[in-house]
Amino acid sequence: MTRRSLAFACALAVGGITACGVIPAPPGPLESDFVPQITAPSTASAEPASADGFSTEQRLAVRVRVETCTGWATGSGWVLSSNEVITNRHVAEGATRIEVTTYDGRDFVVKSSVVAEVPDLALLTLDEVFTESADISEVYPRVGIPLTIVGYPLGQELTVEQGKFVESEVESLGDSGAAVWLIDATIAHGSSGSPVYDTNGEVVAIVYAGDDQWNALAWPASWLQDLLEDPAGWTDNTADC
Amino acid sequence: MSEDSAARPAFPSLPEGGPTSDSHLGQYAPAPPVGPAYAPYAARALPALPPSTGEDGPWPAPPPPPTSTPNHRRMSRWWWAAGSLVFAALVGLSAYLIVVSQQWSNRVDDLTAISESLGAQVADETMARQSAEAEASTLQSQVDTATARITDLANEEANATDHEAVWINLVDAMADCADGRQDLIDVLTNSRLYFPGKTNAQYESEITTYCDGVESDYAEFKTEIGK
Repeated sequence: MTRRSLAFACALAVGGITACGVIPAPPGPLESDFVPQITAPSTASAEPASADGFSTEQRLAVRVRVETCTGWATGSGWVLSSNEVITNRHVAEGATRIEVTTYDGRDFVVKSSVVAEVPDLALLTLDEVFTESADISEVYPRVGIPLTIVGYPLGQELTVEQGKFVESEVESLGDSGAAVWLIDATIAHGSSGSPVYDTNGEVVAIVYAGDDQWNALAWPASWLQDLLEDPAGWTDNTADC
Repeated sequence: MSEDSAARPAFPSLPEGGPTSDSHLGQYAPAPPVGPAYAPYAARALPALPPSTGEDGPWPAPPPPPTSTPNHRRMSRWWWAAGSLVFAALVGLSAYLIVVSQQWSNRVDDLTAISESLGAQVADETMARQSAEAEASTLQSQVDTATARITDLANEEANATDHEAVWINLVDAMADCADGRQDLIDVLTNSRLYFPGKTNAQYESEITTYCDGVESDYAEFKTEIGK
C-alpha cells in the first residue's frame, strides 16, 4: 500500500507538472497600440526640390548670344557665381555685346569679359542677378562614368544630353598639347561652353568642341580651377571693329 | 481479482475443433477426470456443517470468511480521499478552464474589433494614398507641360531677340541701299554732283550689287524663319 500511495502521489505530481504546461494561461493585458512606429523611407533625392520643375543643372545653364563686328552667334554657358558666367573663349572673343538668357527666358547684358588662350574659356561678368551657382569638382574620370551635358545646341531650346566618359585625348584644335575629355554625347554648334555634370551635379568639365562624329570634347574643370586661383591667365576681351 | 477467484483451478479450454485436435491433444489428454470439476467450490459451499470433531473428518477446516481488515479500511479510505482529491482537482481545473476560455473568447472579440478598425483605417489610407498618387501624377504632368512651355517660350524669346538683331541689320542695310540709290538719283539729276574717284556707272554697279545682296539676305532669312 505504501508503494501504491507513493506511485499515486508520483503520478499526481507528474500529472500536475505536465498539466501546468498544457493548461492554457489566461490572456495577458491587451496592447493599446497595434501600429508599429516605423520610419518612413526618405523620398528626398539628391536633387533638391525645384519650385518650377527644372533641375539645378538646367537652371544653371545659360544661353550666350554674342554680337561681334561682323555679326552675331550663340553659345552656351553656366553660372559660376551670382554675377559670373563661364563659356568658351571662341564664343565670346571679339564681342561688342554679350547677352545671356536663362532657362526661363530672362535676358541679362554682360558688363565685361575676359578670355584665356589655354584652355578655351571665357569669364563673363554681369550684375549680381543669379541666386544659385554651380559647384566645380576636379575628378579623375574612369571610362564609362555617366556625365550630363546641358546646353543650347544650335541656339535653340535647352537640351539635356546624357553620355559617358570615353577617354582623355590630346587637344587637337590648338597646339597646347593639353589632355581633354572625349564624351560620347552628341553636341552641335551652339553647345560650346556647356557644363558637363557628374552624377553629383557638379561641373567636372566644359564642352568646347566636337569630334568628327560630334561627340563632345571638353576641358576638365581643373583647368578652370587653375585660372580662378591664378587670374593672370585671363586677358581682356576686346573688339576691334 | 479476489483470493477466491485466485484459488479457482484453471479450467482447461479445448482448442477449437475438439479434443482430437492434433495440435493440442498432447497437453490435456493424459489427465482423465477423477471427480467433479468444481469440487473445491462444493466444499466451500458447506459452511453449515458442524465443525470437525476428529481427525477423521472428510474435509479440511474451512477458511475464515472474508472480513474487513484494518488494512482494507485504510486502503478504502485512502482511495476515497484520493478520488475526492482528484475530483476536486478536476472540478477546479474545469472552473479554471471555463474562466480562461471566456477570457480568451473576450480577447478574440477585442482583437476582431481592433482588426476591423485597423482594416478600415488601412482601406481609408490606401484610398487616400491612391488619390494622392493620382493627384501627384496629374501635378507632375502639369509641371512637365509647364516646364516644356517655359522652355519653348524662353527659346522663342531668345530666337525673337536673335531675329530682332537680324531684322535690324537687314533694315539698316536696306536703308543704306535706299540711301545709295538716292545718292545715285541725286547725282544723275544734278550735273554739279558726282561720286569722287568713280564714275556714275561704277557707283551704280556697286550699289546694285549691295542692294542685291541685301535682298538675297532678306529672302534667305525669311526662308530660315519660315516667313
